[in-house]
Amino acid sequence: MSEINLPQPDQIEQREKEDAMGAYLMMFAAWAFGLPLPILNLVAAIIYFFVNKKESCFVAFHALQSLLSQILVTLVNVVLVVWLIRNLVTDMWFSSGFYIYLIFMGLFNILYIIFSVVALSRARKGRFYYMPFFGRLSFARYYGPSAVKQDKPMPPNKPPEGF
Amino acid sequence: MSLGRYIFRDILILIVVIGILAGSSIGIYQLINKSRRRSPPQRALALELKLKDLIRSSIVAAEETLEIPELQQAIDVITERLTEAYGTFPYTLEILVVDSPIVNALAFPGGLIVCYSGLLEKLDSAEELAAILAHELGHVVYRDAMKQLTRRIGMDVLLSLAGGHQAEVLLKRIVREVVDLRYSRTVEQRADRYALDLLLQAHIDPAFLGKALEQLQKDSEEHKSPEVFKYLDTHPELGTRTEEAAVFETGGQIFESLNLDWPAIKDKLPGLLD
Repeated sequence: MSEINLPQPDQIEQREKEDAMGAYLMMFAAWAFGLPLPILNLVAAIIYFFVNKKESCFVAFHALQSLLSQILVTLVNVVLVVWLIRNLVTDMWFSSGFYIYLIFMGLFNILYIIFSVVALSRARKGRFYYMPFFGRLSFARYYGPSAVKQDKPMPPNKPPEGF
Repeated sequence: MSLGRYIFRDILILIVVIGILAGSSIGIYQLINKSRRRSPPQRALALELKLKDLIRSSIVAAEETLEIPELQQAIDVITERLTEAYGTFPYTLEILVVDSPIVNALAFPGGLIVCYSGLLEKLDSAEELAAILAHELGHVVYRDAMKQLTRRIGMDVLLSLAGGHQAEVLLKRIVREVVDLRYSRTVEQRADRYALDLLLQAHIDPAFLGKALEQLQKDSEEHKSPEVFKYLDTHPELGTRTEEAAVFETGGQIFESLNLDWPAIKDKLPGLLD
């Protein structure tokens, strides 16, 4: 296996660290607006990822990890919201299955918040944090053997022709 | 270990974590349920009784209630027969007769049933009244009024969380109307089924429910008076329900008459000349 050259905390700029942290913070901000519509978290994460992915591999890694992990959380939450609306609109009364799923969703979200807070604090310090599965996928995308080439050399600024 | 194996291991970890969470959820639910069972829904019952008092006092203050001894006696005979058939009835049943041309009967939380004199005038026998009351008892037993109240509050909370823009006010209203309509249709059918079973157990011919509904439907078609004929608003799909009641299987049971002189009781009602 070839050696992977990872940026160390002292090589990462403060702004990159903050942007990487923002990927996880974004989720909490989106929650405040989209609690009954969990899809908003995902939309926020997608926008954040596409806006910040070009900044650096470090920021892109954290943004992608946040986005991928939120797909799973959103799926879990959407099921509950659809179930809830169906129960309210039709005459279904809340079954024990619904309550069990509600507790499951609560626990799942708590666990996800814990992971996110840990990832957030690591990102703020310029460190990597790998969530199970999603961390590995994101890492492969930006640092793996077939990684996206992020830091392309910028063409130098030139004056208009004639000068 | 190769990358593929690591990914496989990660997926396994995720599945195990989800499994642990699902197991914990079932455990927590059973724990909550157990503690709820230990102390039966006393608080819910107390709340229902408070609501019942509140509704009763507001009805008594706003409407004129009828206290005709013969009618009260007939209602007592009917409710005794019905609640005996039920076994231990969870509520103390209270039936208020309101003097009003409105053709309707409503079940409120805590076992309060309000019956309008307009409805009594449309019925041909005490057994038909028993059938209507059995239907309303179904609402009481299934706590439909409480559930509807909870549903409305739940819907309000959900919609207010979704956003408070002006445009959503309309959506709110539409959603609520749909909710009420869908809710009523199925709940009414469930209360009908309950009434048919209860009537059978009380040795009253379940066909009287069909007759009562048919009578109400016929009357509503003859007198197009939407202001008065409220029964159709709160009890939809009368036609389908009348048919369902008509084909109910009684298993050859012998029925006992209520032995009540219904025409004489009806004579005592005010405003018969309407």
